[in-house]
Amino acid sequence: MRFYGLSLGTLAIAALAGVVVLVTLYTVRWRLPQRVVGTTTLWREVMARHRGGGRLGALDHVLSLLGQLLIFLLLVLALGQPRFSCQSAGGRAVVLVLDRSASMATMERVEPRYDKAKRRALDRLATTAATDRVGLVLAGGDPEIAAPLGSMASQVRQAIEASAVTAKTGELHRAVALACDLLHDSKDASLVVVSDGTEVPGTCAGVAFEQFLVGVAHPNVGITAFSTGFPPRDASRADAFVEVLDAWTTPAHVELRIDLDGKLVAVSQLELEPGLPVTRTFPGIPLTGAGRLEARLTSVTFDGGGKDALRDDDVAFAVIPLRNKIAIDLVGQSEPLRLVLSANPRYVVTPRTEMSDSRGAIQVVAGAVRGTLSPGRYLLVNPSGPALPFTFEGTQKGIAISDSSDDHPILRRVILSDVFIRAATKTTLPASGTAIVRSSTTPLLYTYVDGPVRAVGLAFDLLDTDLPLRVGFPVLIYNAVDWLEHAGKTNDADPAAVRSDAAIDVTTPGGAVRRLQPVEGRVRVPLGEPGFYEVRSLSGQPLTTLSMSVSSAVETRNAPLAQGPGEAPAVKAGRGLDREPATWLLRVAFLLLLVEWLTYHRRITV
Amino acid sequence: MPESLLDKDFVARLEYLYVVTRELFAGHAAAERLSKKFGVGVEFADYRTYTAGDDFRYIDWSAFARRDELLIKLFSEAQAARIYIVVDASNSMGVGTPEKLLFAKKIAAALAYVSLANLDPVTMLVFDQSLRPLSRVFQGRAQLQPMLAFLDDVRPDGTGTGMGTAFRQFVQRFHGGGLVILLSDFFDRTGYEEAIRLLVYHHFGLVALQVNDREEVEPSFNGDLELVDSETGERKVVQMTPKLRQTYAETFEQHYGELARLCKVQQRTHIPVITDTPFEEMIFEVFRRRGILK
Repeated sequence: MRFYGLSLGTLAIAALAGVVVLVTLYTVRWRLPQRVVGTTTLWREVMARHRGGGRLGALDHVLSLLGQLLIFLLLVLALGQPRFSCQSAGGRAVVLVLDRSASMATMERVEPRYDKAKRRALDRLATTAATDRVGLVLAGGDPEIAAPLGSMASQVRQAIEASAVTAKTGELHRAVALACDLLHDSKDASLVVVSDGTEVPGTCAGVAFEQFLVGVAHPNVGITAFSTGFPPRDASRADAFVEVLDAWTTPAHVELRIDLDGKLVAVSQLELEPGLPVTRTFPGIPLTGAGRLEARLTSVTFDGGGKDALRDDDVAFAVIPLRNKIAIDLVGQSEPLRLVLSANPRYVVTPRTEMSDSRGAIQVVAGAVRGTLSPGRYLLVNPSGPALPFTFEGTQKGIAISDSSDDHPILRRVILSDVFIRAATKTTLPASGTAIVRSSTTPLLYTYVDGPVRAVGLAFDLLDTDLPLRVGFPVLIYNAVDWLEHAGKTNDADPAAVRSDAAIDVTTPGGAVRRLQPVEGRVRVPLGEPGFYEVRSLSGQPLTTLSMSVSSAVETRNAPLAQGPGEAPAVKAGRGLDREPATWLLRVAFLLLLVEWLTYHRRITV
Repeated sequence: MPESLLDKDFVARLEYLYVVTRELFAGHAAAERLSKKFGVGVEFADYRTYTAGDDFRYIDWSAFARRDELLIKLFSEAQAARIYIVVDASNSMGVGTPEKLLFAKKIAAALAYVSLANLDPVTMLVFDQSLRPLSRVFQGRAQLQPMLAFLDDVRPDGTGTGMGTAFRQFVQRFHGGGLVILLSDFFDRTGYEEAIRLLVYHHFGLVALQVNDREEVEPSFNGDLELVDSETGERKVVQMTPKLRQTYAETFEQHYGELARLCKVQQRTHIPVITDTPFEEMIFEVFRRRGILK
C-alpha cells in the first residue's frame, strides 16, 4: 500500500495522538452528570446481568471506545489517500479527449451515441486517484480545453456532463495533439480518447494511450456537400450543388428537397448505391428574400430495411449572399477591361479620364496613375507613377510564372500556369503588399492593403499577354472585384467570424439569443448546432446570417473505421479495482459513526 | 426540631392505637399487655394440681366439689411488652427526596409514641456500621419529647452498613425477647440475613420496615450518568436505556424479594415503604392493614 496524501510517518503520529486524546477523553468522562445514590451495589449487579456472562461481556464496556477509535483510524487512513499495490499508482496526469463530432449524435439502440460516450468518460474519470491530475479536451471542429489539467476531477465531471454534440467534424488528431501538449511535462501520463472510431485519433509519444470506442455501424444517408455559386453572367440567380452519400451496406432511396427561405424550389429523387456519393446541381435559384437555402433528405428507405440513424446530416444549410450592383469607375483606355467589366450585369461601369475621390466605386485604372492612392479600392493594370507605393524598375521580358497562391480568392477557378506574358514591369512591393502570382524576378499579380487603401495590381499590360483571350480572364477580374468589394466586410479565413467593434446578438437555430462581445474588432460566433444563425446589432439591425451544416462524409460514415457491425471493444480499459480506497474508508467510517450514533442516541444498547 | 417529626393532632390520633405483637413476652413491668408469665392478673389462664405451699386463695373449690381434687387456678399476668426500635442511620439513608432517614425517624416516632401510650417500654437504637453506643429506653407518655429529641439528633454517618455486626451487638446487650422494629433500606444483603437469623434465634419478634426512595424503586433518569455511592464514594457510570431499566427493576425485585421471603419463612413481618407515600395514610392504613398497629 502506498500513500499519496500524508506520509506514513505523519499518519502514525496523527493516529497515536488521536488515540491518546480519545482514550483520555473516554477515561475522564468529565462532562457526565453525577447523582448520589444510596448504594451502587445494586447497579453493579444490574450491569453484570445486563452485559451477560459471555466472552464478549468483558469487552462490552469498551465497545464504544473501540468503535470510536476505529472510526478515527479510518479517517486518518483516508487522509493518507492510500492506493493498494494491486492498483495503479497515484499522481498520474490523465487527459480525456471526448469526441463530440456530428456522428456522435447517431441514435444507438436506446440513446444517442454521445450519451454512451459521456458515461464511458465519467466511468474512466471515476477510476482516477484523488492525487491524479485530470483534464478534458473536447474534440469537434477546433479542439477546446474544457478543463485544464488539474486536481479538480469535479470540474472535469461537470464539463463532461455539460458538453454537447456539435455539427462539426471530429478532427480527433488536432484534439489529441492539444491533449498531448497538455501532457508534455508530465512523467506518468495517460491520454484517454473516447470516440466512435470514425476518425484516426493520431498518436502521442511518451504517454500511455487508451481509447474507448462507443457505438456500432447503423444505416445512414447524409448530405456530404452543399454549396452555392453564381453563374458569372447572371447576378439574379444562384446555383446549388449537393452531394449525398449512402453510408450503409445496402442501396437507399431518398428524396432531396431544396428550400429557399422555407419555400420548396426544387426536389429530386435519388437512388443511392452503398458508399458512392451522388451529386446534383440545382441551377437558377432566384435570389429573393433572405437567401436562406436548405437542402433536406426525406423519405429515406434502405433495401433490406433499417432506419436512418443520424438526422443531423440529412439537412444542410447555406446562405446566398445578396449581390448588389457594384459601381466601377474605369480610368484609362483598355478595351479588354471595358469588355469584361461591361459584360457583367452586376457592374455599373462609368468611363473616366481621371481617378475620382469617390470612395463608393471601385476604380479600375489601366496604365499610369497620376497622384497618390487616396482611400478607396483599386484594380491597377500595369500601373506606373512616382506617387504610388510601389517601386518600378523598368520592363522585364520573357516572363515565366514561378509561383502562385492558388488558395487566394482572387485565383479561385483561375489557372494561370500556361499564360503567356511577353513583358512585365519589374515591381518592388512595400511591406503591405503581397505577391499572389510572381515570376522569378517580379510579382505579376499582387494585393496591397494599407489601412483604407486596398488594391489589386497586375504588373503587365493586357496587350502583352494572351490572358484576355483566356476563359479565366473575366473570372480573374470578377474575383478581383469581389475581393475588393468585400473588403472589410467578412473574414475570409474564418466563416464564423463577424467584423464588429460592438457587441452583437446572435439568434441560434434553437431560438436562443446570445450576446457576444468583440475581441480586436471581431466577434466569433460559436457554431455548433446545425441551422441558421441570425446576427444582429444591439439595436436590432440585421448584420448577416451564418449557417452551420454537418456536410461531412467522415461524419456520415458512422461506423468505426476498422470495425464491422457490432460493439467495438475498447483498446484499453481502466481497471475496475482502480477506485479510490479513501472514499471507501470514509464510507465505512460514516457507517460506523451512524451505528455508534444509533446505539448511543436510540438506546439500542448500553 | 422534635415538632418536625410528629405534630399534636397526629399524636392525638395515635392515642387509640397500639403495637401488635404476635407472641406474649416475659415482661418486666406491669402494663396493659398479657404476658406468657402466670401471675397475679385477672384473666384466667389454666389449672394445675395443688402442691404444698400454694396459696389457698387460688384453690378452685367448685372443682374440688365436682372432682374431689384440689386444683389451683392460674391467671395470666398483665405485663408490658419490650419494643426495640432500631433505625439504620448509615449514609445510604441520607439520600432521597424526602430523605429516607427523616422518613424512617417519623415512622419510628409514631410507633414509639403508640407504644409509650400503652405503657410499653421503648428502646431506641441506631446503627450504621455497627450499633451506635447511644441508646435509650423510654416509657410513658411523658417521655414523648425526650424520645423525639433523641430521634432528632440522629444523623446519617458511617462509610457502610453493618447490619450483621450491629445485631450481633444487639443480642449480646438485650435478652428476653421483645419486638424489634427495624427501619432500614436493607441494601446490606449478607448483613440483613444474619440479623434476621440472630433475632429469630434469640426469640425476638421482627417488623422489617424497608424504606426506599421512589428513585430507588423506579429510576427516572436517562442517558449517561455517573452514580456515586453515598457510603463508599464508589463511582459507577451507567447509560440508562429501557433495557437497562428493566434489568434494574428485575434486580431490585430479586434483592428485596429475598428479604421478603426470608421474613416469611421466619414468620416475621416485612413491609416495604416508599418515602413518597403520605405519612398518615401509611400509619393509619398500611400499618393497620398489615397488622402492625391495631
